Amino acid sequence: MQASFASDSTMPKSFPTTLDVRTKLFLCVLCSLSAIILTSPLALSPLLAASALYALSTKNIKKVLTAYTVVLLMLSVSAVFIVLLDMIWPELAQMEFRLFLTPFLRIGLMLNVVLGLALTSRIQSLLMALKSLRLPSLIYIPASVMIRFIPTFFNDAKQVLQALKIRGYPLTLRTTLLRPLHSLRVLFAPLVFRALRSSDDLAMAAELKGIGLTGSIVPHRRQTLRPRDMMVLALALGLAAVSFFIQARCGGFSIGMH
Amino acid sequence: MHHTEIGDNPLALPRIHPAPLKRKPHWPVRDLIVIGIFAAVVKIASLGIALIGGGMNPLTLLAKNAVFTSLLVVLLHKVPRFGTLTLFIGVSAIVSLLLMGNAAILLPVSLASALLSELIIMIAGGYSRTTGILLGVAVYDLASKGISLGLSWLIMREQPALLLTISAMVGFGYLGALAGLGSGHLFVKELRHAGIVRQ
Repeated sequence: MQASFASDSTMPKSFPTTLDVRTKLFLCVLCSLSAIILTSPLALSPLLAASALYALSTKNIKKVLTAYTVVLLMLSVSAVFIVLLDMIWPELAQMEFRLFLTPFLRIGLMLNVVLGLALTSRIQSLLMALKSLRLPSLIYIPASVMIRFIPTFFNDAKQVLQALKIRGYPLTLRTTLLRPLHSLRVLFAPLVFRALRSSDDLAMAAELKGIGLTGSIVPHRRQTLRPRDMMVLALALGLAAVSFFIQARCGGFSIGMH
Repeated sequence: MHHTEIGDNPLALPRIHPAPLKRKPHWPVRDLIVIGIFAAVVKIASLGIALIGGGMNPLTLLAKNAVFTSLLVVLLHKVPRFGTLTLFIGVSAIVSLLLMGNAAILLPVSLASALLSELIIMIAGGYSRTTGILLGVAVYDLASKGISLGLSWLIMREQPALLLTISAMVGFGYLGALAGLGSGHLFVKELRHAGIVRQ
């Protein structure tokens, strides 16, 4: 997640950066729940348009477009498999355009809000938001570590790939396709080793800091929801209500079935 | 450090009274951190495999399940105690819920499956036995997939043909999960050799 690398100095000033992380988390939850329930492309379109504006307002156009390209590639490969399935077993694969469009719109909606969160939030803010949910330490500590570890894992993966290249085994698409199991092994075995080493280091650091032994932790900065957060929340709820209204008028409600 | 007492001898080292700490928690921070790290590794690995393979096709389905069960076997050897699996599943689901919101429906199902498999591990000899752990992970994957399919039937009961396709894909994915048990066992052997897993 790009959020892992974001810091105040490197982040371009944009509208989403001024929002509270809890607002952005709420947008993610609201949009993904709406994406599960809504089935009509028309009903999904208001939320999709607003979320696209939200993602583009991060001013990271290149990264947003890269994410879209990756998702498009992924969906294209999936579509090829559906076409193959249709050739083998035509009763099971339905080749209607609408059945391809709705999942794409859902993925686009969720991608937009997750990009808005990831490109404009600092890890520290995410951790503080988790803390403000008053979860027990049993949940809070692993959840924080999980979010915090993601950038370290990406760095580890980069180092492992570089090491493979130096040793004369570059992990390209060709080698992955020709020897998938071997590629998986040479990539994942060192990554698991490094992850376990990192967990030992982190555990030592946490124990030295006394994490888990003290009852109350006072946050460095207190997070408060500002009027603009309230406005965004109200707008999101309003748009979701409009989408549900369109769904009720045009398509009715069904989860997962048409 | 709160108080120091010097006494009569000015050269004597000060006696240090440490601040009172709360009693030792049931779950050491070390174990919680390992669980968090594995939750992250599983998430990224699944995402990476899906992206490299171009969505959910038979090959990525096998690879994703194999990597998931391998990592689960390693985790249960690294943190061999009752509740590890349930906590791992719970934490992953909460973070997914916050970021994507789509784990809400499957959270109770996954937690129930995790508890069931932990009970099976205890019956099969506890976390000190590799066989019990392998059996527990196999049961967890089977139970979570089975109960999820049951929920899918509730949603798709009007068109059972669709459920047939999904069941076939899930069954195929389970083959990957079973293969992952073997590779996880090999991983654990390597990790024991490296001194990372001591059990």
